[in-house]
Amino acid sequence: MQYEARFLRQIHKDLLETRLLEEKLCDLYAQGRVPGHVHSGVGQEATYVGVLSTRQPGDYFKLTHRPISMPWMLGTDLDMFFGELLAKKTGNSGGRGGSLHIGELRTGVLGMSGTLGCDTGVAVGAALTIDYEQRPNVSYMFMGDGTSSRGPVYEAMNLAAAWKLPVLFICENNGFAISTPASSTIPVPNALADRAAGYGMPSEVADGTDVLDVYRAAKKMSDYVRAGNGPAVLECKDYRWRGHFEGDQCAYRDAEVTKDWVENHDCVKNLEAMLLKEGVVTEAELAAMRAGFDEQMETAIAHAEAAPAMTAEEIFDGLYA
Amino acid sequence: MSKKITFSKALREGLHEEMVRDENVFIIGEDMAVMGNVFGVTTGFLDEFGPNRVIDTPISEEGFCGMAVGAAMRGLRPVVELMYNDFITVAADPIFNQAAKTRYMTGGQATVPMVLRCPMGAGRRNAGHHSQSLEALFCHFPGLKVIAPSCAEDAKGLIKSAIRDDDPVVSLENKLLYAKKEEIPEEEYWPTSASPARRWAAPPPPRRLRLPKLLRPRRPPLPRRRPPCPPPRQSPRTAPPSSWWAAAPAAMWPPSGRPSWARR
Repeated sequence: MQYEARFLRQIHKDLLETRLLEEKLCDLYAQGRVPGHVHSGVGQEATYVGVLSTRQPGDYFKLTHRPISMPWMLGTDLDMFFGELLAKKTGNSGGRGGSLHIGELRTGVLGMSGTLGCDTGVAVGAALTIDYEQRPNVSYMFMGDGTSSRGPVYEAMNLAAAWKLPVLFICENNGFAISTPASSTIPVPNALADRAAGYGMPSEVADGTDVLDVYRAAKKMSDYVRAGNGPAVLECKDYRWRGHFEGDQCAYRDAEVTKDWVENHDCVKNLEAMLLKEGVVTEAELAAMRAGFDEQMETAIAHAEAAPAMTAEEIFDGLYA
Repeated sequence: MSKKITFSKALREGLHEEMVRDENVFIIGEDMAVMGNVFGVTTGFLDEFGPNRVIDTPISEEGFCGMAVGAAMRGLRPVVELMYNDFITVAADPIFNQAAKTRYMTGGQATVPMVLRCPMGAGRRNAGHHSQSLEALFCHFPGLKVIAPSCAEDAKGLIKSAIRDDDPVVSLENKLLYAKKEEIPEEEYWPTSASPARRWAAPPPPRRLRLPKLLRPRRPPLPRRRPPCPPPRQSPRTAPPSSWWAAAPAAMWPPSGRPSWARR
């Protein structure tokens, strides 16, 4: 076995909890308990969990709108997580950010942009701070294949490469920009990895439904970046199980293909089968983990629903100009 | 004592004093280092502060404005130049969506202490893409503090307080003013109730004046030929008024404290 049991148990815990959170968000939204909208990342957890398992204290993260549960793995507690999701004062931004903008600065999460790709420069700027302070840290910039068509992504990649800044650009290629397939809009097989050479960056492509393959590739690339060699690109291939937003019926794609991905490329199911086979965990332990985390989530949701929301009088608080 | 220098030299002095004082202050933009800026504002800075603090960028306004936001969120104090304010149209998102909204949308977890300097205005026959006056555009966005120094004394005083401010400040500098020579004090000074910007505008709310009035020797007001600016419109809210000629000094000093609901 290539990895220690302790490591495997930790990466499984992160993967499972992310899955359970994403599923819970879908349930809450279906029950009308979430304001705004939810972009479910069920089925796409492995890319994020695999990459973020290479993190070190002091690293920075630019996440995306899917999966939105990643701040939990990075250290935002569940009360605060659900508080922000339900637009309550207990949220990390007092409910001002909402589902797209969960995450505490304390944990290195630099927020998310609702305008796709426009904050790539922000991640590169954070890397400039790392470089300025000469710390062995990495700024992780996540994006989707759709965002890879945005101009600011390439301005930022060029700047990071020209100045050898410690940024790992991660493209989670799930094949769709809402309804538009990558095959009709992106002229290369790998949306970001194939373009890395233009900036003199090394790149890796991983199977985004296999958390250990993602970890392998991410470790290689993040070690390269962390050693001060400059930026790198990692691309992970997976599939968007659900619609772009909850309620999207996905009439624009073949349901048979979706079914195949869901049945045969389930990152949680496949990892658990492997762990059971290797004797790292038991069925009873898995059931206990699911039940335990479900209880934690329900407690946090109850706290969030009971928490006060921002009032109309407070809407200008914090507005300084 | 006072001395007579150009607007651009006064600006340079302000930037220089702040860069000497705080090593987290750095300059980034097109042609800022080797060339020393197209208006000579950063002449000699590269030799003195080195390439890590005076950074020449490629023609990537959206990229380096975004970088300034990220660097500012994590503790540095970038002073960015957009060579002409017209270029804000290609760098709009980092300024209007990222810089302006970060403090509000993160519930005060992060501030963005950056300065965006924008030469602006017509009169140099630079044609329509290099001559606009876009102050109304900047003033529209809550979260941006907008200043427009109109004399050498304000150019130096306001850029210093803009750099020390914890929020994003946009400085609009009329290109025709750069070569204009005017009197400024010899010694370090701050925008106060006696500064030109304040004298021309209506008096600010008294609660904002926490500095002793006499930071520098009193001297008779400089003769001014320009007509006075119209009085600022008063906002019904307690937030600083948003009219650009008056909001700046009031909002600039003292540096704003963190809001009560901020967590850190």
